[in-house]
Amino acid sequence: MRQAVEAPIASEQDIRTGLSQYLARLWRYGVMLSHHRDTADDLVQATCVRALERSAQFAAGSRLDHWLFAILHSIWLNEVRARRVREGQGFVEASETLTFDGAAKTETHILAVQIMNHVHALPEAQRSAVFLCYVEGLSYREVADVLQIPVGTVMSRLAAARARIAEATSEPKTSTFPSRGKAQ
Amino acid sequence: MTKTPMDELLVAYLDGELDAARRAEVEAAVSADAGTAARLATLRQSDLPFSESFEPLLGQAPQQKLEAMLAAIPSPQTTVRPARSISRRGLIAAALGCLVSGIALDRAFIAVQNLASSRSADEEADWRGEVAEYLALYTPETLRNMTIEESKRTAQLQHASQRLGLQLDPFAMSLGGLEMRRTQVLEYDGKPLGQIMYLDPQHGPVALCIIASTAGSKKMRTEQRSGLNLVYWSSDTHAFVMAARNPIADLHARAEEIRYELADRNQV
Repeated sequence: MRQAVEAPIASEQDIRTGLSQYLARLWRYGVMLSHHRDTADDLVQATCVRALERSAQFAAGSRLDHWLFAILHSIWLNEVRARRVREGQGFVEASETLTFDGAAKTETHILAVQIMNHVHALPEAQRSAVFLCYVEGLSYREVADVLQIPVGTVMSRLAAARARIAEATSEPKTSTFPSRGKAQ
Repeated sequence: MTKTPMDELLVAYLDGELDAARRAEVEAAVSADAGTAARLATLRQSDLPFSESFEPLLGQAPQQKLEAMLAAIPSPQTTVRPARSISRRGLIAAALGCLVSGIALDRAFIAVQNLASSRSADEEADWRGEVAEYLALYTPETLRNMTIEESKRTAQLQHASQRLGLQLDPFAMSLGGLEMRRTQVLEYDGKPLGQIMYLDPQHGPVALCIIASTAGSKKMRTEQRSGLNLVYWSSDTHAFVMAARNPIADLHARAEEIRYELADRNQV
């Protein structure tokens, strides 16, 4: 008698477990895209619902976090961003998004806020590429898969974003960035 | 300086995304041409500690709320939970009865009203459609996990009153026994759009949306959009939409109540 072969399909429970690990990272991406905490909450929720519905479509062995980023991004693009009804009054500065606790105005934090502001100020297409590549550490190929665009487009978005950020950082007042790695 | 096609190669070089051959090409170009070398140096300035800078934002995520939200999402596979009650058959019959009469009532209500209306091109249909689509994204969990202290909610209502030029506080803190959960001022075509959310334990979120409108006073009508029941009306100064999954008659009664309150407190 032959054992039933288990299909290489993730169970809904696997997805649920995976989701619970990635909630904060999904939320952060939601904040990045929308500039709003509430919208990020809603995006994460919609992503969870969609991911659970489509758990059978997830190819076991591939990166679940990347799959979830792709779902969140498409919900943002197709269902939330296009709406004329928007949360709040437009742009939120990183310093507002990032409310530090108490005595937190250290140099590290000031630098972090400056860098976040640079990224927040980018056009959305560049912002998501920069975030996925430099914050989440995805390769160009992986970014292309998440955003559903060709690798060449990823390259040109990153180049444009880097040129912009380089220009902004070379402006007199903000030239005191330490090199890569944690300040302090 | 603006972006050049060379920038893409240089950035990919900095990111370690080039194969050995392309890498060698870039290195050759950089050593041969001072301009390219300078450009590489400029672009390198954008090598910032991005990952570290965004780290604190992870800590800002409402972890508990998100976990509770995830836990509350029912499994899409298990559609019907067996009722454990002894009188299961009775319960199901009762539920079906409610559903059928509810639908029949809604249909009748809508049909009568639509007959009465002249079906003229309604320029406000647009915003109702947008509002309904947006609200359809809300689930009971969105609000259930949202516990904002009363003082903050009062402040939200005051803020909305101010932005909309309409006295809402404090009576809009509850809607026929449903407690107000959150009030936001959103934006619709650049105009402030007030969104007051209540949670009906049985039917889920109930939203009252308000926007300034001088299209003139209109009596209350109902319709269905994006799977929601809508009751809408307007005063001389504002347009209102109430949207929920509640049966139309129930929603209509709630809308009547709040319309009365609004008129009472906003007499010019």
